[in-house]
Parts: sequence; structure tokens; C-alpha cells
Amino acid sequence: MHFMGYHRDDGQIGVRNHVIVISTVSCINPVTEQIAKATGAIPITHGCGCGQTEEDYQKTQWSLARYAENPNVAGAFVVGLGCEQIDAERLADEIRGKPTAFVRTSEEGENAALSKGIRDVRGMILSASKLRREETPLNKLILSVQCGGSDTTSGLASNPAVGAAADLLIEEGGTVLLEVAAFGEHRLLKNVTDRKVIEALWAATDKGGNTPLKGVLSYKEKPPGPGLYHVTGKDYIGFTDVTEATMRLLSGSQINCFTTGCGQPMGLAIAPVLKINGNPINYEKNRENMDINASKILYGEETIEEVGKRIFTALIEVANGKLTKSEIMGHRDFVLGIFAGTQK
Amino acid sequence: MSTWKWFVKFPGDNVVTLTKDAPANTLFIVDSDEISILRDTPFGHKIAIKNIEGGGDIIKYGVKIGFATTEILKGEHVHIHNVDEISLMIRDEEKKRSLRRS
Repeated sequence: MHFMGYHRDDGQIGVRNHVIVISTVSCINPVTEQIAKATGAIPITHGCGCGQTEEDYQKTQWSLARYAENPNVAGAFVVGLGCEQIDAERLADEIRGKPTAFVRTSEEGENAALSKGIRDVRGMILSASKLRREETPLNKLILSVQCGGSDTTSGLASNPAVGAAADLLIEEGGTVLLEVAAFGEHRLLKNVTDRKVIEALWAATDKGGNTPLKGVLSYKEKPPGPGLYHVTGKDYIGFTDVTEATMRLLSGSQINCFTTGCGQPMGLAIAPVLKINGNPINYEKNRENMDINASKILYGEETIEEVGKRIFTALIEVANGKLTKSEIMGHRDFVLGIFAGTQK
Repeated sequence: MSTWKWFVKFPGDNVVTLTKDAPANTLFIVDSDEISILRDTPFGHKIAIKNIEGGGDIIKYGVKIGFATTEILKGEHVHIHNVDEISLMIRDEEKKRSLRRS
């Protein structure tokens, strides 16, 4: 099976074709937002970039660079002030595999920096618009699966249904990154023999389906090959769904499959989030931002496998370019994990 | 997993999850055993389908998800007032043993 993706110079395949504008430091966020607003590019603003320890700011810079390297990004423009720890030119240089440019407002003056930013970003958007989607095997797809706003239905309906979809994707050679959550670890663990993996997976979930786990990765690592991986071992602060979803994109994941009982509204700045809700009441209330209703599983009206097939089909459609509900709602969230306290 | 209009249950479970609000005295047949709900219990909550002794395992999804902090009767609501989490059980085997003794 195939999906239609954007082939990047570095060999990665995007399912979206976004140009982003990144702040080096929180002080510069208003300029970043104005460039993005004037061009239609996506602003990436945050609260870090200065006043951090050497080790912490290096990690922040590393994370921003890996985020910009996500295959869904066509080009990245970096906005700096000039006196901060994360230097605009250094960050732009660290981003590999795609066009980058930068500006420092202290050098150019704010109006001139704004003008340069708008001009450069418009150029990137023009170049990106020339790219056409091409047929791509599913082994180029990296899916993050995550749950949040979980409730009594998550372990019964939405998580196992996503697990069934994950099984189908892995059968086709795809890759699935599984984050920590509750319930269903027994299904994952039954094919695992490595004790370290078992310990790390105590709290993992049904969202990985029945596929044997290939290994445990830190958020800093890219999956070494296709299959199911558990992502753990973080050294940043931030436990919200949006932080975790944002940090998963550093591994090159192009799509997030998110199960929610309460109806989490989250969307991601550069990646589609496909939302699956197993709660019939909350699905109806929030259907404008829920992509898949998994609640029929509870009443025996649909099987886990049937909903899993629907999710898998929806994933391919989204990979081909169909917008998810949160994209239509305009939710473009970016919350970077905060590195604070890694000082000796 | 079996479902029957009102509940979801996995093989080997000693609790079921309600898929509708269930008034007191609602009758269920679970694995050919008749269960009467003791009190009004809301959607998404668990009901014991067997008597569970204090310290006994709560089995859901076919795995231990916690243990009873007191005796739980068939048909009773199973929630934080009578269950402790399994991680606590691992950390504190002694607590579980003491509950069994009492």
C-alpha cells in the first residue's frame, strides 16, 4: 500500500508542506507572530532560549532544530534578537535538509527584520508550493500514538482500536511510536522477552496493538527501522498532552493518532492529529473536533478490529492530504518541553 | 471481550464496566450468573460480578488492576472507595497481606 507524500531533499517524506517561523527566544515572539500572520506561515513561539544553563539551552536549541527537520516542514525561517543564548544563525545552520534563513532584529532594526522575514518566508512558500505529492510506500510513515483526556472508555474502546490500526500499519511496514499511558500493557508484553523493555513498559498501552515491541527509545532518538517502539526517558519538564505530542515530532513522526474520552481539542502546529473518541456522550458533544467515533465497540455494534480498519483508512487519507478536524478548527499548538534543572 | 447492552467484560474479569447508567436492582446475566446492582451506578463505572474478599485482586482487561481494600459484594460499585491501585500493591505487599488477615 502507498500514501502520497512530499519527498524532501534529505530522503524524509512529509504528509504536510508547512513553512515555519521560529523564535530563538521568547523576547522575539511578537515579531515571529507578525511574520507568520503576514505570510500564512506557522509561528513556532516558546518561552525559552535565554537565561538557561549551558546544558539546558543546548537542549532547547537541539529540540528546535529537530522540530524544524520534521518531514512535514518545507522551510524554516529563524527570528532572533541578538543577545540571547540561542543564536539565530547557529540555529538556522543546525537545521538540515531544507531551506532556512534567519534575521536578528538588533542588527536590522525591527521594521527591517519584519520586512526581510516576510520576503524570505514568501520565497519559501513559493518554492514549497511547487512540490507535488508522490506515491510513497507505507514504510516511510511514522505514526505517534498517544492518549489524553482519558476516561473509562479509553481502555475499552479507543485505545485497543488504535492498537488494531497500529497492527495494520506495521504489517504494511510502517513505524509506530507509543507513549506511556495506562491499561493493556499485558497485550504488548506477551511477546517481549527483554526484561528492561518489560520494566519500561509497565505503564504502556493497548494503543500499540498486538505487534511485538521492537525497543524502547528516548525522545531524542529516531526509530532505527520499521515496527513498534515505546518512547520514554525524558529529561524535560512538561506533562501535558500537547508537550508530549510536540516532543514526539522531534523523532520525525508525521501523524499523531490521539485517543481521548473527554474530547481533547489539541491540534499540532506542523502535523495532523487524528482523534478517536470512545465515549458516546462526549463524542456527540465534541464531534466538530473528533475524527473517529469508537463508542460502538462498547455496545457490541462494532468490533475493535472494524474500528481499527476505519482508523487505518482514515490515517492513509490524512497522510494523502485530507485535513483532520483539529486542522480545520485551526488548532496549531506547539509546546516545547522545558529544560530546567539539568545543571549540575 | 463480551458486551451485552449494559456492560463490557473481558474473559476472567471479576468486574464489568457499565456502558449505561444502571439504576439499583438492575438485573444482569453475566456468564449465566445473575447479578443485581446494589445501588444506582453511573455509566463507565465498575460493578463486581463476584464476591471479592478484602485484599483480593480486581481483574479487568484480564489483568490485575488493583486490590480490594475491603470486602466487595457481587453487584457492588467498585471504585476508589473500595480499591487501591496496583502500583501500591507492588510497593506495599505488606498492606495487602494485612488486609487479607483482617
